[in-house]
Amino acid sequence: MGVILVISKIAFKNFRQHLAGRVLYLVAIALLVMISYDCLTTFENPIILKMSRLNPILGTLLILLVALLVFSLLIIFYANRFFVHQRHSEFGLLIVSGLPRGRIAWLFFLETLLGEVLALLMGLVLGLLTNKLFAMLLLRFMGISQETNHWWSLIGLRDVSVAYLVIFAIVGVLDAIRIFQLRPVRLLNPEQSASQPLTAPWLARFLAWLGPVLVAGSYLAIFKLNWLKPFRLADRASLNTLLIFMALLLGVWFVFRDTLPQLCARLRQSKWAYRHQRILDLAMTGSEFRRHHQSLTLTTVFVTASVVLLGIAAVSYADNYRDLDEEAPVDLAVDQAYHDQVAQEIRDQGGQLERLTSIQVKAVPAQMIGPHSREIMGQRNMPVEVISLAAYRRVQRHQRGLPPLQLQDRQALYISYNFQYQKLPAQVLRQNKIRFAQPGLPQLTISDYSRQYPLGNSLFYADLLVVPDAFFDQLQTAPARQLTGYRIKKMAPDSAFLRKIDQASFASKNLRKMVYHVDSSLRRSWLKLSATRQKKSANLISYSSNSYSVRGPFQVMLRRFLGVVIFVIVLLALLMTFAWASVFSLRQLSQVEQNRFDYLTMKKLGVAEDELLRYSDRQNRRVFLTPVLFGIANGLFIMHFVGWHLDHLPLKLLYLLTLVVFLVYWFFYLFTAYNYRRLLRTTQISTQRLI
Amino acid sequence: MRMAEVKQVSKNFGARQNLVRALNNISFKIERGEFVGVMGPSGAGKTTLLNVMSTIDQPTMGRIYLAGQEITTLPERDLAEFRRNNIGFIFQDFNLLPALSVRENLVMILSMLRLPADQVEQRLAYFSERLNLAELMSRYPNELSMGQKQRVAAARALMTRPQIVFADEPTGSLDSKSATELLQYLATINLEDETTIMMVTHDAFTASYCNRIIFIKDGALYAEVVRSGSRRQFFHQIIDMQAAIGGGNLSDFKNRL
Repeated sequence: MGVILVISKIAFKNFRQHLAGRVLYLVAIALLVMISYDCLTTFENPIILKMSRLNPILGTLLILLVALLVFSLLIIFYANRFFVHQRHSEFGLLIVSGLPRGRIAWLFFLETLLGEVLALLMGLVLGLLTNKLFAMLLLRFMGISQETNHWWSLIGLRDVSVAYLVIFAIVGVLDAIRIFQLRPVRLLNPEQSASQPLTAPWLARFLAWLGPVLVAGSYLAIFKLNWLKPFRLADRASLNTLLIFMALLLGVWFVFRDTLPQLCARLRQSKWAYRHQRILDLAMTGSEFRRHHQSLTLTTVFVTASVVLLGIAAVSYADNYRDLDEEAPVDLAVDQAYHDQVAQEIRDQGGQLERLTSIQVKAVPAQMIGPHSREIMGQRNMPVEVISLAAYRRVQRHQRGLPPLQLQDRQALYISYNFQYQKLPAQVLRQNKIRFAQPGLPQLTISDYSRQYPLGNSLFYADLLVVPDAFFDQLQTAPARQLTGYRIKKMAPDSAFLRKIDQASFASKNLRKMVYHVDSSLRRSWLKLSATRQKKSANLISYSSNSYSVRGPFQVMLRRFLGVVIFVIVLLALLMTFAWASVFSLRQLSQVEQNRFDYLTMKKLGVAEDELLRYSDRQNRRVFLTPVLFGIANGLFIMHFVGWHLDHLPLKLLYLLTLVVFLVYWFFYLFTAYNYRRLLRTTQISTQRLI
Repeated sequence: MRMAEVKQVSKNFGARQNLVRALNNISFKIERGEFVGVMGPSGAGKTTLLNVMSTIDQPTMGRIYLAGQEITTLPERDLAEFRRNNIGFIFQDFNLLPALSVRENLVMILSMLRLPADQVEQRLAYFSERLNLAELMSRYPNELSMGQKQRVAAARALMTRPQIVFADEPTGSLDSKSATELLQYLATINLEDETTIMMVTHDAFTASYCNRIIFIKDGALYAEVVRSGSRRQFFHQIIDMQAAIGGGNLSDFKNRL
């Protein structure tokens, strides 16, 4: 009992002693706890529960919660590794003094537990305080203007506490295992155990080149990858993607472990290093790169992941919200065949319809001629639907997302939801022409490309052409369609009735079906509207589209889902940035114990303190910011190529969010550099052991 | 010509009830080219004396002159420059920088002195020959034996051609063979290059390589022994004095010759 009391007292003393240097780390854990509580409490929020009935919102939040718990486990485990490392000499002394390792492990567990429990309590209090804000933010992201007062959840408090206590216990067991494996000779003589590279020079040179080669090769492969294919593990292309990312990871690992240390070694042997007094800081930077290549690689990975996550959020936000907005205010688009029926049903339910415009659509077999025409159309020949320029302009008056359009006699606007063609430069796209099956019609030059359909894309089979009015009149096609757009009033966009209409529009009997006979010369191509399924054939392609479409239900669901996804992604990326930056800062500060006696030796040899501090700043900056900049470059590179194919990458938004990531790391670098300087200054020159 | 002068220097640690007077109004002089040893029982103030003389620590009272310059009034930045230009250090635990190779450990401080590259090469060649370091140049400190480390540390201290070298128990971590080798190197350099050396030691055998020994006790100058005859006679004089202060015996010399 007495021993436990003594150990507890020492643990408390140690905890207080180290508290100042670990504040930001504990704040990071508290933030993770806070968001975990906020997530769990959301499951009991009646408003969000009601909103999420038809939405995978809660599933997304559950993913966030699991990600937060796993991430918490990882960073606490990693941080404790540094703490153990920081205390090596102390543990060595305790071991040789005869203190059982179990007691040392218990002492270490208690002192880390004190910090962790403090962070847990702080996190829960912050969770209670911010829960309403969290829910309100979530609702705003979902596009819902509703107040919520729900903030208290006993189950949430209990579950988060239990989850984190389990994490603390797991990490405690892992720490104990590590403490039991410590070898006193290494703890007391770190200099003897710190080995320099013992690999053969040719192998060291090979590994130093291997890193950059793997990174460059991975970049090249990312550039060559077809990002349009869905990710399936069984798929060869997906397997290749995994291999590419593993190669990139391995490349980053070798760059930190071999390339950069060897580069520093090369540089410090140069006359430049001698003239500019860079021998010492290059040597220390190189040795830190080698010694900490694992955490530097992990930092690069986390920064890359943060930038990619934020990039995905930026793309989702800018791209999908634009999609949602571009059809407004066309709430209902309907084919003439269903017009009366649907309009009557809505009116019967108390809705009011305001007719916006009506357009005629003709479908004709056509062929694209020109560079990359197969990639643009998906195949060379296909049926295209055509509307006139006048119809386009009529819709444009109501549908604000449609770009303005001018066409000359032989020009057409090509509209496709398929974004494949956007891989190609605009001038290449504009070299393509459209040839029609109907004899006597001239070829049309593509003047521009767009993915925004008049009245929305649901009612069209595939690609759409906007042609000059005179040309449109010449088109002979039996199944011409009349589409009408309406604004719906006095009815909520996601009302149960509109949802029913939306579901009914996807019923097979209500879909329009078209069969197209493919002929390479276009001479025997034909289109046939059909309500029955045709026999499958290489030359027959069938298309289907809605006969009517209500915008509200799907778009409300999509907006809510996207809101939650973006909210979750941004939150996860920012938390990951903050938490990992705090751990990285701890790692760097744990290094000061090893370095400060070297600095003191330098001081004795006649290097002024301000010069030494400049060295330490330079070294910290290199070690701290290299993986961050590397990670940002990786992330932006990946997003640039992925985003290029994703169409209209909102790069500005991505750059802004990336700047936030960089600023978080910069803030932690300043904090680390300040504390590093403080710790260096606290060791006076006369305190170094002389006898 | 006078290399160092210590005038009525005192150094206190702590305050009031916990006040410890490590140096108590001590005064002495060291001439250029001398090899001076400082001896005394544990807690006599040997290291404190070396610290305040080598500008590592400030005396509470008194004045210290090194190479004609009063160092007790110099600001920290000037002290750093003074150390760099005038003082060499040899420590018991070597204090080599582990991230640097032997060559870099030797060259690094010269880069701060902005010494031309050809002169650096000359000095490297000279000291690697004198201290037998030629084959160790590309190695790292953790790949060296204790004796090799101390030879590198000695070379580092001498590379800047300092006015005075302060050695703090330089043989404390060495086996007797390595210790004897190092002391012979130091004695040769002292004799041939007229390098002034001040060495703190508690070992009579090590001290016997000096020309003069200053004995201190309780922070004050206790006695001074100057070598006049053979090293053996000098050793006996040191042992006698140690016996008077406390510590040391004749078998030390017999066993290690």
